[in-house]
Amino acid sequence: MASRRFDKDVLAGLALATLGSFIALRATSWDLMGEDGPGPGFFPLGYGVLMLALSLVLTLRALLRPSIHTLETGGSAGHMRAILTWAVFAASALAMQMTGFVLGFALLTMFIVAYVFRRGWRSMVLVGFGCSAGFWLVFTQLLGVELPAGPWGF
Amino acid sequence: MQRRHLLSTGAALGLGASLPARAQSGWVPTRPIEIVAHNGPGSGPDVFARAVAAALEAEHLAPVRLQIANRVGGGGATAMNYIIDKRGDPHVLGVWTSLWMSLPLVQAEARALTTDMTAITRIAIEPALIVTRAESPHRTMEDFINAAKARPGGLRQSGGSPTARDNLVRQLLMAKTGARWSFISFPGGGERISAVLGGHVDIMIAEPSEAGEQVRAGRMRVLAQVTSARLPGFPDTPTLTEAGFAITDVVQARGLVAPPAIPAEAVAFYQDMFQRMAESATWKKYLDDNQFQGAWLSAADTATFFIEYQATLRGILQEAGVRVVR
Amino acid sequence: MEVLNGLGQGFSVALQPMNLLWCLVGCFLGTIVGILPGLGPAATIALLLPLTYGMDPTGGIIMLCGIYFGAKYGGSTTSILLNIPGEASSVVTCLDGYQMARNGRAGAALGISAIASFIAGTFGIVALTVMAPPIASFALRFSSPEYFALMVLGLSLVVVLGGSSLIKALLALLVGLWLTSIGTDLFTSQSRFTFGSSFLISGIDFMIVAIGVFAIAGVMESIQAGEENTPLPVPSSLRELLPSMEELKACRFAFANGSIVGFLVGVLPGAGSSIASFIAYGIEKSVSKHPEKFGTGVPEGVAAPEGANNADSGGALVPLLTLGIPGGGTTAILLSALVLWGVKPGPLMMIESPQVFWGLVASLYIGNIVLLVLNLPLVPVFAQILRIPLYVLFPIIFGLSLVGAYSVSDNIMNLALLAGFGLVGYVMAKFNFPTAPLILGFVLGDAMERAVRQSLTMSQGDPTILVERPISAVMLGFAALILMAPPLMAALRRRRLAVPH
Repeated sequence: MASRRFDKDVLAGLALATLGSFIALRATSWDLMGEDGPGPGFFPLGYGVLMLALSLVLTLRALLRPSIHTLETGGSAGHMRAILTWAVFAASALAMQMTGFVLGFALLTMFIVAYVFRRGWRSMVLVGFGCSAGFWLVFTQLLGVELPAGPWGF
Repeated sequence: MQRRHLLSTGAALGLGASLPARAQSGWVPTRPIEIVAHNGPGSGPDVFARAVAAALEAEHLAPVRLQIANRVGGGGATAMNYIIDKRGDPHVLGVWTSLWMSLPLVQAEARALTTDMTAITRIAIEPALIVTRAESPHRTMEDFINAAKARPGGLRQSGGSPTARDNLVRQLLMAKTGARWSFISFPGGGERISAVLGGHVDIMIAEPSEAGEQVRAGRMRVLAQVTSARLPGFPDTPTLTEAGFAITDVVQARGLVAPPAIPAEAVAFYQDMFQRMAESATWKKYLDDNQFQGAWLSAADTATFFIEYQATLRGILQEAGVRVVR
Repeated sequence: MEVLNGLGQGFSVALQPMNLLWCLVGCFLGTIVGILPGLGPAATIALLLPLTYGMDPTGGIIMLCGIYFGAKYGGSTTSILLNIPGEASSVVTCLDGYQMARNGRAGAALGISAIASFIAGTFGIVALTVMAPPIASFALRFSSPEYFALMVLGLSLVVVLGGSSLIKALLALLVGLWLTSIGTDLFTSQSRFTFGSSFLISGIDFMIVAIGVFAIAGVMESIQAGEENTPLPVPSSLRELLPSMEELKACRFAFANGSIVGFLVGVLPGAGSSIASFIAYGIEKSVSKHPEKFGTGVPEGVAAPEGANNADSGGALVPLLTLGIPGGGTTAILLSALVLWGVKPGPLMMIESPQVFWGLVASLYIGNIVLLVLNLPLVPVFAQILRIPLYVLFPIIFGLSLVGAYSVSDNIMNLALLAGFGLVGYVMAKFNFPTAPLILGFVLGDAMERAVRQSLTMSQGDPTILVERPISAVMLGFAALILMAPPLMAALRRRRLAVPH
């Protein structure tokens, strides 16, 4: 639908206009011009102002003309799955400081296998255990790369 | 105090690689000691920490294993915060550099101060050379200063961050002589040297390890040395003081520090251990190879140094127009 | 000729059994280091240094350079197969390399990457052999105004990389430029956009942005599009697993492009290898007959950046070996290694330690061949990784991304940022914003700002310094050409079509 299409550009334009204003405002609180040349605020101010200007152009353009873009695949269901997967990923990444890499990654893997790919619990456990054990072996044991560790040492 | 001191040292030395703790009088470490460096493998503080560990092991001064921990991030703040957070733990040490005093002055987010940590020792000072390219018309420091006076802001110096030693020396020189020249920051040593060699800047205050080869090859000349006594490799170049510009306040130093509130016996143990290391042949060779100067200070003197030097730094930075937040 | 004499001497050193062994070890280690995120060549070399204290300097530097070059070969493997950049200079390879894999041409992409790396690497080493001192002197004439021109050249590529909407590309570029200003301003120590966090004082690491925007967002997009049930196509016959003759022919210009651009950018201290690969990719796209296909999986889009990052290694050795000036990162550690072994890297190194210098150069030739022989047969093997079922592959991608992000500085905040950029990349894709300009802005923003401020300090505020010097003027001219190239080429094509034959 055309209206959904330029809604996106309008949304994006407004969001970026907000970001641009924020950047420009913060930049003005620093020196813009030092005695030897531009100060720390000069370039961020430029980025912010340009961002604001261009995003307003984007928004206006989207409002003023109906746009014809390519169709997109998948509906909101796809978005939900992607965002939920991302949320679990982000949560497990943050949780790793308490649970350690191995456990956090195992849980993440099991979620992906079970929810995204809808495979049975056997696959879930096998792949979850296999992947996290594999990573632990290769990275911490073989290569000595530091990974987040929980209270149980790994 | 003296006797406990000797006993604890005797216990440490006599134990070698075996487990300690038979001696009740005096503290000895009972777990591996973690030495924290504020940057990654291969960087200045990391290499220094490893050299310290290697010297201690070579001279059998440490009764337990030493491991280097790289706590990277925050421009050094991560390592400093880590030391503060390890309050009371006598098995953690950190390698401090002058950065540990300048960083909290300019970064509000850097909450850890060396004055809150337990000072152990200062063990090395890095001298510097004021160098210029061979084709430069300046032959002495005085030439350069006079030329700078004649063209205020026209001459240029390449260097690092404005809180680093090279800018601090510049600030003091400018204040002392009334000359003015600009400072151009480059993030890497390679770029700074290239700027001098290519004639894009006039001088640089460089470490002997950075510029030594260029001088030896005749591509660069040394105008003066930033050090209290002439370096063995440069016997014919005057020090800044000898050249008539007595700048002694700025010191690029390194040493060891421990978390706050550790037992006094632990401090005594470490102080003694590092004093022995500083006097050892292994360490002296390391200093020579890297063109550092030994500058051992006791724990108490180091603590005083932290307070005094930070105050000096604050003064110089404010003069320089750098925004100071503490 | 003394070059031939030197080389002859060098080969006699490099072909000694011990040195050959060190070369092999280095190449092998380097390839592994490049393939695996979480291990960079700089950190690996630094960690190996203590083990090499007593080593013969020639053998030691041969091994370390083997690691250095090998990492550039290996870095493209995860970029192509998993959309995870193996190291900073392999980020650009993700753009077309991963798409080639999705089109069933993974083997071809890996093969072209290895071949381009070999050709460009050899070019870089030959240039190092023959022209090192004069090139080093020439490079000294580069300073901040010239770096500025180089950055402008790089930024002009946004026009080429942007895709259909120039405004969106510019906006993405500006976001990238802004992100790179987060941290501490070098000139004044002012914290910018750090929101009170001491973690952000040192800024955001490039790898975290790249891995998040490419790998994490890529997985999210696959899930959203419901692709988890369509496995990636993997051809079974050997012939289809290697690059075809048409693909190789299409890459002819890319091989030259990558070699020259990579080497020249590599010679400049402080210009990173990711800049080289971006510029090579941008030039390739702007002179291509079918620029719109870039980003969908064209072989030249892999050959140009991969060649550039290998030639860059050869270029970076020029200032290191002839002047003792490290370009940054890995070359700085190589410098400290040389110092450790008592070799004095500097203008006198070629004269005082010729066996180290020429031995190293000769072993680079050998190492380059070793790496090609090592990597090409592995291509069909690596391509089989794509046969792993997606329900195992997606977790592996997430895991490798986490390891890669964490290794930047062992801080959980890196993982949070990784997740954040993954979301950013996904949102950008859903709103039809191209991500390549964001990455480009991030790579160049810091360097460009520094170059401008350094130049203006040098000239005491006079902006003409940025355009008046000959070298920077030439590069700015090239930038203008690039900006005008797509419409010019299109106009040329129209004229060619209009003229009846």
